Amino acid sequence: MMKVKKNSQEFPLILRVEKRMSSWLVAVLLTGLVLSEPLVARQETVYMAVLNSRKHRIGALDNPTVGLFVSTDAGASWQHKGWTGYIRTFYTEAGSNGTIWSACGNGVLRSTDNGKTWRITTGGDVTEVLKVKVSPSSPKTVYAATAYGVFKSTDHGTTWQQRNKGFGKPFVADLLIDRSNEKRVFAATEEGVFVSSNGGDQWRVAGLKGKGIRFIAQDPGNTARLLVGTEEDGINISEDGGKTWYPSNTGLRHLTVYVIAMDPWAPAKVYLGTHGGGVYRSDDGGKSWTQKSEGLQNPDVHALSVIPSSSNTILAGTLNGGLYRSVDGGETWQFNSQEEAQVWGLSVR
Amino acid sequence: MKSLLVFGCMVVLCVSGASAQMVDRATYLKEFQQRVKYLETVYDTSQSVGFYQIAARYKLNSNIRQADSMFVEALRVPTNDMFWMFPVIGAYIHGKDKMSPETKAVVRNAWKTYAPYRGDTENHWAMYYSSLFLAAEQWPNLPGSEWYNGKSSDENRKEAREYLFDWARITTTIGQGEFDSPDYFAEYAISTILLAQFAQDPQVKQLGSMMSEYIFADFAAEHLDGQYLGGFSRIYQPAVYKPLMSTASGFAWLYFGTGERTSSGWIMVPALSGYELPEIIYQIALDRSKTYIQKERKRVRNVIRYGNEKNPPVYKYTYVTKDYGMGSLMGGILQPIQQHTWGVRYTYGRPYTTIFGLHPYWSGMELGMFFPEEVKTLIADVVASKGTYNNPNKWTSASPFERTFQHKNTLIALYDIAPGTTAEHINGLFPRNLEERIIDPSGWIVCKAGDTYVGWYPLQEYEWKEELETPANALNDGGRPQLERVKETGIWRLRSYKLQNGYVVEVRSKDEIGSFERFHAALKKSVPKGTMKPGAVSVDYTTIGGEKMHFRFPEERKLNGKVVDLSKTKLFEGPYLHAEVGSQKLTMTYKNKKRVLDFKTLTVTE
Repeated sequence: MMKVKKNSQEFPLILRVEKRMSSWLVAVLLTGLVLSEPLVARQETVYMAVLNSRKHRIGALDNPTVGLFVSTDAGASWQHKGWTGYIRTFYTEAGSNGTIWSACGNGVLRSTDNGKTWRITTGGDVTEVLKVKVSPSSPKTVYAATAYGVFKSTDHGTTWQQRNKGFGKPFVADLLIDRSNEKRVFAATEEGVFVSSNGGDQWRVAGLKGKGIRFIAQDPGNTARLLVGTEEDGINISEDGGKTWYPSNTGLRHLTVYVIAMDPWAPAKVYLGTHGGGVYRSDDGGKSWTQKSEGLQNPDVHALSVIPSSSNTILAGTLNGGLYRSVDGGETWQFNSQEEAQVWGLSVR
Repeated sequence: MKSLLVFGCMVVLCVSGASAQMVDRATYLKEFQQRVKYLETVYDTSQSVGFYQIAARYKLNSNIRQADSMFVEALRVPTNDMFWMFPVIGAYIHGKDKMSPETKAVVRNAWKTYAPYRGDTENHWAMYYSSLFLAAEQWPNLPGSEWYNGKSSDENRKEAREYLFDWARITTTIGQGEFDSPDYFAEYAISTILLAQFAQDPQVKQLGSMMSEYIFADFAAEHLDGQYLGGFSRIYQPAVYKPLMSTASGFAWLYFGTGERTSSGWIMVPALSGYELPEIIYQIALDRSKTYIQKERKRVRNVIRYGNEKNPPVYKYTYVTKDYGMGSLMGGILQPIQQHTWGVRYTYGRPYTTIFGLHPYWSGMELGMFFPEEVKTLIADVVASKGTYNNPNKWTSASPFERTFQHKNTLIALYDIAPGTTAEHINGLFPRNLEERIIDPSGWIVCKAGDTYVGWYPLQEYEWKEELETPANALNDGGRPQLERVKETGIWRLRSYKLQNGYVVEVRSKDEIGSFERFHAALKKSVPKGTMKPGAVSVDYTTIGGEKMHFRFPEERKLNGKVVDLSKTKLFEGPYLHAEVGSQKLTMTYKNKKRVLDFKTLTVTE
């Protein structure tokens, strides 16, 4: 029997899932997760990309804690998967068909056997890949956000095409595929939020022109509601699918926001990872923010994940302080693993 | 950091004083073979486990069983990424027909199971793809399951080939990105020489040969007595103030017969490869019978954000004599972390054979231009491996608040530093071993380094600090104390805290001006006039040669009343090298010889 941990007590997973089956199903649909196994038996997988370790340098002998780590117990324990070498893994995400994609310095890596073997799907022209995003309903369509712009594959990574038309400066830190219209893709650039309505063929400014955008998130319960984290401009929100934006920084004292995570069961509960301020939480959909960093020994939080099957369990990846875990909705944090490491990306499927 | 990068790297420096004289080809080849033999002997007899020791044994057919066991041991825990790839494939090629089947299988398996990092910069990619190309040729027709990256031999070969040709195209069109680097010359030379000597594909072999010549010719035209003449895209401490410690100086010893004897691992790959330098490049490197000006155009390493252009141009100007060379980049941020914007280097006083100045600048923004990580944490990340980056006493730096204007052997450097910038001062380096360092009432600092005389006129008040180079205060780039091999140590640091700042540097040799006293007297008659106000930093100066220079920060340069247009600078422009922007063609000339590298047709003509 699979179990989940809550308030230091373990509960059989099947009971908890049954109890929340309807909302779990709703969340699955809203977040684009597709179930390929019986609902009651499903336990989400968390993918943690560890970019670097303070002690590591290129060519160094000590190299124990970089690459991809996977957890199937809500972050309680982790298993390293794939290459152990330092290839700068920024982010990993799994598609609905089970394929795992990693955004790396070496390009976009793909595994179709749950991490046993990998292939670099890109060539020498694709480097410094910061994010990889898989189309929720068409898992052969994959986008890569890189320091040199956007690359797209529609054939499961066999071929890639650059998609930078419309960008002034192509550095793209993050991408968001609109769940309501998968041809609509948002890009976080150094010159604002860009949007494409044709799957990346053409980009135009969607807002926040001139601002450095670090992260884009879509409300699990409302696809028209978008939140972006910025470099020094805090949080900006759009209620109309990216047409207009307004800042929403009440209570937010650290205005560089690296990452946003929302509770799939209660989208009004929003978490931010900031530079210098650790984690902030909003309980009113982003109208106001409260710092929730008790126990965090490193204030630079670059990755956040809310565990769907246990939404009070939050994972926070820090820059140079490893991974922290909260089991009380961010009220308190405990060091989890990856000492002195840069946990650059987290994703859940 | 570099000391960790080569497995089994050994360095032995021996002091030798005299400059090398140019010799005829037969003598050159004889002496070159003697140097190769010396290196082979050092590594063949070394009992340390390292890829160069292994390669030497295979090459010399000496103790193959030991080489096999060393190879297996060295591959037990692969590490070092692209720095692992080139010595492994090099050693394998030397030994593949001699090693045991078991050893062969271990090597093959390493390329299946160890996934090296491809890197994030030009030298990384050169090493990665040249090595991968050779490996793919050595093991053809294997499926992706037999390679670390999941790609077949054919896919790897094609991808590497494509990258290498693209790199050569860009380099010969708009210039090299990590240009003129005394410490990264090795990475390029090793990559191209491996291709030149061991590629089976005749076009790639030719490309390797031509690119080897290209980068050696680039070095040769700015070479003096084993030293690369600055400015540079990248150099480490302490090599920036002890020039012969750079890896390029090892290549100068091996291929030009200059500098100091070394058994650096960096020159083992070329030494074992059998690669010989064309005579004309050797002659360009050695003939300093005539003074000349070398102008070059390079490109900035890929700018990924906070810039308007991916590869802005870099303009380099170098004045070369038999006694000294003074070279400069025009200033600004052209490369992160390790830029050397300008310097005088001379033949006197090893190991401290240089005088230079800089603004020690650091910022997340600078790093963010070139690295994709978050700008607010990048400084800490960089300092973890390059400990001097945020040190206000550092000796390498690019600064947006620094610009230079050089004409022949006169240089003006100006600074308009924003308040709050790290750091709020400029530094100048003067070796303690100078024969003279006179603080003249006129304001000139007048220095004598053998037959080279250097005058430095500070445009603002300054102070001196004597710094003995002891293990306690001589930091290397790992941020750790650097144990010194040479007892005669130390520098005088000139420091000025004025944000609007600058200086004029005049250099002459005994041949050019006669006595030191005459140089001193000439300087006293040539006092610069500077304006040092925020947003209005300028200087007007008549050189001791009588030419009028006007320089207003950042980009207003006038010589004898005429605007100096740097944008017209060619890829190579000097008595020995010529290349137009976009031409993909380099013409080398020496006396009645001419050698043309045409990368469009992949041909060499003489």
